[in-house]
Amino acid sequence: MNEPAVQHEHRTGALESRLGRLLNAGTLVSGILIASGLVVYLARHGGERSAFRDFTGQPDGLTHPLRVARAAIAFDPAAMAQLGVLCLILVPVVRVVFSLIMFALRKDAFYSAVTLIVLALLGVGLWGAVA
Amino acid sequence: MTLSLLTPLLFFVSVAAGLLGSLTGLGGGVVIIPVLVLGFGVDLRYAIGASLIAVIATSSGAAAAYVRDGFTNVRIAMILEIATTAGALAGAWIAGYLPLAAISIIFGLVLLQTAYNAARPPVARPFDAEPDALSTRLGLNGDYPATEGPAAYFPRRIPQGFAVMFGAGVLSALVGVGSGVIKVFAMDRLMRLPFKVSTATSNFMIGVTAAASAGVYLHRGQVAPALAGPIALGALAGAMLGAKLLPRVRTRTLRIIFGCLVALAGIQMIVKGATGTL
Repeated sequence: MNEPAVQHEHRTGALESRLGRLLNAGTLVSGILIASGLVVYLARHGGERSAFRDFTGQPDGLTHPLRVARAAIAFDPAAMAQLGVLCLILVPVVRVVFSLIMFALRKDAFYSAVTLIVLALLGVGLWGAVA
Repeated sequence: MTLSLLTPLLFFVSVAAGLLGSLTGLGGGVVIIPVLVLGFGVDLRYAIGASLIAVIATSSGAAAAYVRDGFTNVRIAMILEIATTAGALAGAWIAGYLPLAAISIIFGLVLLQTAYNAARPPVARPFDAEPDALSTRLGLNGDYPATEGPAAYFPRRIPQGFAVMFGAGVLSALVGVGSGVIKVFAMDRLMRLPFKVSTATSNFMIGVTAAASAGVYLHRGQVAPALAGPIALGALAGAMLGAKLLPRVRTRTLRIIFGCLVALAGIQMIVKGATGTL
C-alpha cells in the first residue's frame, strides 16, 4: 500500500469512530426523549385505559415530522416521546448520510449516486408521499 | 388495563423480545407482534407500527458493536438498499389496500418460515475463490478480519440478490419485521458472503429498510408513542444486553424452544386471519 492510501485509511478510520459515537449519542438522545415524554404522559394519563384494541389512528400533531417537532418544543409529552421515536428512525438515515460523505470524499461518483438514490427513497417515506 | 400498568409491562416484554431476537439472530419483530396481538389484544396496525420502531432500535443497539469491526460491506449494503427501501415503500403502499386478515396470514407464514430456520442447524458452505465479473466491475469484492488475518471474499449473483432484497423490503414493510432471515439467505446462499459479513451488513440494512416504511406508517397514524415508546426502549436495552451475552451463551437449545413458540404464534395468526377474528 502506498503512502497516501495509508493516510486515507487512517483518516476514514477516525471518521468511523466519530460516527460510532455520533450514532450512540443519537440513540441515547432518542431514549431520553422517549423516557421523559412517557413519564410526564403517564403522570397525566396513567389512569386511562389503553386504547390500542381498536385502530383509530393518531392525532394530526403526532403524524408528521415537522408537526411532531413543533408540539415537542411546546412540551407536549406525547409529542416528546414521538420526537424520540422519530430520532430513532433518523439514526439509520444519518448512517446513510455519513456513507454519502465517505463516498464523496473518495470521489466515488457511482456509489455517491447509489447512496443519493437510497436517501431519496428514505425521504419519500419520511415525507409521507406514499401514505 | 390502565396505561401506568401497561407501559412497564410492554417495556419488560420488549427487553425479553430484544434479548431473544439478538441471541437467536432472528430479530425482535417476530416476537413483539404476536405478544401484542395475541397477548395484549392490540390492533395489528398499531402492532406493526410499534414493531418497526423496535426493529430500528434493535438494529441501532447492535450497530454500536458492528460499526467499527470491518465486517460491514458498505458498497454491497448501499446497492442492495436501493432494492430494500424501494421494496419497503411498495410494501407499505400495498399494506394500505390489503385487508387486515391477509396481512395476518402473510405474517403467520413468515413466522413459520422463521421457526423452520431457527430449528435447522446452520450449514457451513465453501466460499468461491474466483471473482465474479459484475462484482469486480462494481468493486464489491472485499476482505474481512478472520482469526488468521484478512480473508478475501468474492460475492456473486448480484442481480438475483438484488431481486430477493426487493422482496425482503416488501415483506418487511407489509408485516413490520426486519426480514433478517431473507436478507441473510440472499447474502449467505445466493451471494456467498462469509457469515459475519452478511450478518453485520444485514444488520445495517435492516435499520435503513425499516426507517423507510416506519416513515409511511408514522403518517398513517400507526405509530402511537405510548405503545411504540416503551417497546423501543425495551428492545434497545434487550439488544444491547444480547450483544454482550452472545459470546457466552449456547444458543442451540434456545433456538429450538424459540422456534416452537414462533411456530405456535404463526399458526394462531393464520387462524385469526382465516376466521376473521382480528
